[in-house]
Amino acid sequence: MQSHNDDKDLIRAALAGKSASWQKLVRRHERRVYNHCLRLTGSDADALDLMQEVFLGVYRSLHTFRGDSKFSTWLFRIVHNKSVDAIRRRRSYRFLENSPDDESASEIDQFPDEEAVEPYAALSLTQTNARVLRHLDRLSYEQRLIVEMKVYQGMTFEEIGQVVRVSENTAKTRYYSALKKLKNLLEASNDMS
Amino acid sequence: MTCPKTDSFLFQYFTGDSATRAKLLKEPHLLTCSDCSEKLSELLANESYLSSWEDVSVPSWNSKKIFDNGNSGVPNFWFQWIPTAACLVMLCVFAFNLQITDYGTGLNISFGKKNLEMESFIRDVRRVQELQLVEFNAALAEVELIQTQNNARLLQTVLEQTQLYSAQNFDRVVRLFDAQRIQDLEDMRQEYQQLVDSDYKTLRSLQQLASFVSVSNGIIQ
Repeated sequence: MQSHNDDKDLIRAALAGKSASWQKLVRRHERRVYNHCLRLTGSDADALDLMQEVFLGVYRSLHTFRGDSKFSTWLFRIVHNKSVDAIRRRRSYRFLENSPDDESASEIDQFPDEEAVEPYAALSLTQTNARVLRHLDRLSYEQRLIVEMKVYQGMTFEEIGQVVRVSENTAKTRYYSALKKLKNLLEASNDMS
Repeated sequence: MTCPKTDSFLFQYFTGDSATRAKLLKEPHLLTCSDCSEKLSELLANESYLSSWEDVSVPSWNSKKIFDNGNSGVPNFWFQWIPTAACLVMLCVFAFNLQITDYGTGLNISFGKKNLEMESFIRDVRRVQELQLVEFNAALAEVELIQTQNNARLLQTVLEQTQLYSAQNFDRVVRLFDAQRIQDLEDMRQEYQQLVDSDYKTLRSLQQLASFVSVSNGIIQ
């Protein structure tokens, strides 16, 4: 609650033109956003780009934040929108790179694919993170988003529903089915190893 | 053996808040059902596996740059109306200075103050155009009249000429037919004469033959 009020104060000050308040607001949330972007893109550079894009979006629409919901919920709505944009961009980029009849290029669920994650993971991610990312990557985008918000952002299903614009029950169902799918994936990878 | 309650129990557990989770953990069913407890621990392991993600620190980046690029201030709520207001002002200026004039041949849309000299010039030009049009129509009517008269005269001459030629041709044809008819009659007469002549010769021959026969009979007797 304290943090919520602090966010509101910082937003008010930033809207009044105080650069320091804006920076403080960014510093407070950048780690969560960056790690979210990293889990989504699997690359340091892409995650940083996406994070900057998110904060640019936040800056541009900060005056529209009415304070009805928590700032973090509002922020993750922007993160979600920017992520979807990034996926669409990546998809069209892949469409240009690959043959037009490549079906995998048109599936939102396939982002980022294993081939895309693996080289980055080898370079910059720790072994644990790379492994988690590999398993997350096998989930559908919708399931992955719910897992992201529930597990890593600690949001309630009501908040998740607000961000993703689905009902609370749908969010719950997706989360539960994501856990079950992950269990099967882990079992399969354990069997293979 | 699979417990029928497992799925709904796990769903309630993993979609519930911390209080719900704590309450469900104390359920007597969980303590007695190995199936539910086993699957619960598996999914809990999954959750903790996901939580094993080690947060990565953010690389250095300049968040102030976003702030500075936006004219050192987050856009004010009223700023978003500036383009709309500018458009409205331009629309008003445009609407109040717009002149639409009907010149008969079409609409003339002009922007700015009324140009009286131009209007008077255009009126003069229109008047001259109207006079020219009347004169042109009169001349045209005169030419049409002359043309009609000439056509009638020409037609009359042609008809007269044609009638004359027709009469002459008819006389010539009648004369030709007459001459032909007389020629035919003459030919027929000559042929008839020839035929009569030839019949006459035949009769003569027969008479000669008869007299010869009678003379010959007399001699024989």
